Amino acid sequence: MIKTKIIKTIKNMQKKISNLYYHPIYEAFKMRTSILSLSLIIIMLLGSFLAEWIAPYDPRATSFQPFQPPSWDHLFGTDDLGRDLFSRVIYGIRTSVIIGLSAAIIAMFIGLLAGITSGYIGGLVDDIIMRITDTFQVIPRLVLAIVATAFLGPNIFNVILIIGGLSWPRTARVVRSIAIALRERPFIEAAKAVGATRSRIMIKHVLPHVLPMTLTVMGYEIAVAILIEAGLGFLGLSDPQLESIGKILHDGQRYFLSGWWIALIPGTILSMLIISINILMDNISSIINPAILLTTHIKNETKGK
Amino acid sequence: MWRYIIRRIFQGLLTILIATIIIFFIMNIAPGDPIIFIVGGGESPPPELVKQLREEYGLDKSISERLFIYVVKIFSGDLGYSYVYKSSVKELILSRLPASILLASSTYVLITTISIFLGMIVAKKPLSITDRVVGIIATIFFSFPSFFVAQILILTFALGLKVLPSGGFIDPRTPREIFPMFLDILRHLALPLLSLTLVHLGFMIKVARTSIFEILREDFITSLRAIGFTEGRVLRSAVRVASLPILTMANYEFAFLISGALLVEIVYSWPGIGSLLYDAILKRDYPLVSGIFFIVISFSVAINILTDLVYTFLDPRVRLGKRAET
Repeated sequence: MIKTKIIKTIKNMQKKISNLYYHPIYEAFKMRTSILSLSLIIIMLLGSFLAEWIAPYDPRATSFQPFQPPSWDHLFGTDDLGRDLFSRVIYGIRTSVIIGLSAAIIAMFIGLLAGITSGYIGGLVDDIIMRITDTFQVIPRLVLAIVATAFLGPNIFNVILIIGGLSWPRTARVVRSIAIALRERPFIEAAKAVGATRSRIMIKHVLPHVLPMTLTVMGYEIAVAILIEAGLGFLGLSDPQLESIGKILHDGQRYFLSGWWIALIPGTILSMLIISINILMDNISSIINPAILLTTHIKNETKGK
Repeated sequence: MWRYIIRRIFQGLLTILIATIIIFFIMNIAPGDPIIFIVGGGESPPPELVKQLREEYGLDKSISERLFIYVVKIFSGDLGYSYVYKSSVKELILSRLPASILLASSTYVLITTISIFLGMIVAKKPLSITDRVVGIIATIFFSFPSFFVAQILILTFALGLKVLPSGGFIDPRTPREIFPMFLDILRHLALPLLSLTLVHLGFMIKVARTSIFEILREDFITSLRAIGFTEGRVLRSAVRVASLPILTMANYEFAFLISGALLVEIVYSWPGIGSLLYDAILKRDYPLVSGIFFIVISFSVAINILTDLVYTFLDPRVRLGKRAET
């Protein structure tokens, strides 16, 4: 009697907990494409964090026969200087991941700050912030990143700061549109009536609601940041201390005839990482907000100016 | 109406101004003394010479004064002098601009037609198998680095199948007549065009799909069906309405095409602005780098303003000030 009662309460609690922690976002992870891309992302993340243990050789060691095609000894072959490409790719992906994540986090912070302030406070502040956002959206990001890196020097901190400092406008716009919608909601009015300060409302009540969309946009920004980093590396604007897939692709282009694998395999690995991130983000955004990503984007671009 | 146009042009100029100021400050915090750069490496120059050069180049003035001079010069069309090419930056860029514009505009034409066509097919049955497959393929293509797509195409079509040239603009052996020259440029254009199209198509397909899909849900489509229009005609009417936002998006994309083409141009040694920028970076030709930056920004801003103005003429809602506040 008591036993069944206990079991019942436990089951009830379990149900409550699972309801509490249930979020429609889990649906996105049940799609087949999500599982595939998520596992690819996890493999690459693991590979890049454990690079020291996984890479079979030193990526800088030039001790092998140059231009060896892929084999069991050298999974991706060797390059023009006889370096093991598999090891170079692992370290290169690590650079991509570090730069992508850090730049996207910087962009997210700036975007959140600008978006919430602009959307919640409104008025003149909104006007000023949105003009600045417009400016940054019109300037082609890649070109400014190239020019800034060329002038300031291609060390990894500069690259992160430059890409991060240029990638926030989209986050700011999405956050702003949600914050504007939230402004009129009763629970914000209630918080105001109780006497909560403006900054408290922004942090405690607006922030949690914009966070899911922000994180999705951040996912896309990681992909873009990795793309820009690869482009910079391709132009020879990557940290000379670190491996970069862009750099490998640049070397590979010069030796197309002697070794097709030098460019082809590393490029495919990098593209797979970016594709996985984008497909996962597509699936997530189709669940949390089927319309907002594309339609607000279009509306802002076409009408909001 | 006129107020709107003037405001947009003013905003555009402001954008260019902000971009110019950003680039000025970047150049200022960049490491290295410009005097050493002019004198050249080796032994440090005598202090008198440094002082004289500083005065000559105006480097002894305060930073705000120099910013003012820089902005005024840039806006009056003086982009500086390239020490590497021994030529004015403006002429260098102008000589490379046609090739870049040719590449970007042909890509623009291709991506708009293909994306409207594919968007039409896909929007008819949202969430069907075709829709999902096209969606995933679109995502895959816009995830590829543009220069890597270019490399794959070179490897297959130029080096593997040997059907198309691997780079350049025109073969020097081609006879200097209109028709063979045109054909040869077309042959050289094919691969860069294809790479750029593939990369930029993904985004445009998504835009086209959403726009057409949204129009198909509107009331007038239902009335057209009620009148007895065939599905094909209904779809065509929807596309006609949807083409406005699609083309607008494509125009914004065009501004990015000019810059997005940079990396592709380098792979194919296409004689546009991209390969010029690459040379400038390799040779540390900073006046040229900032000049190219300024031109690309001005181009993007100009296209954006033009698009907005055309949109104003075509869509009366914008003119009346009923813009969607999102």
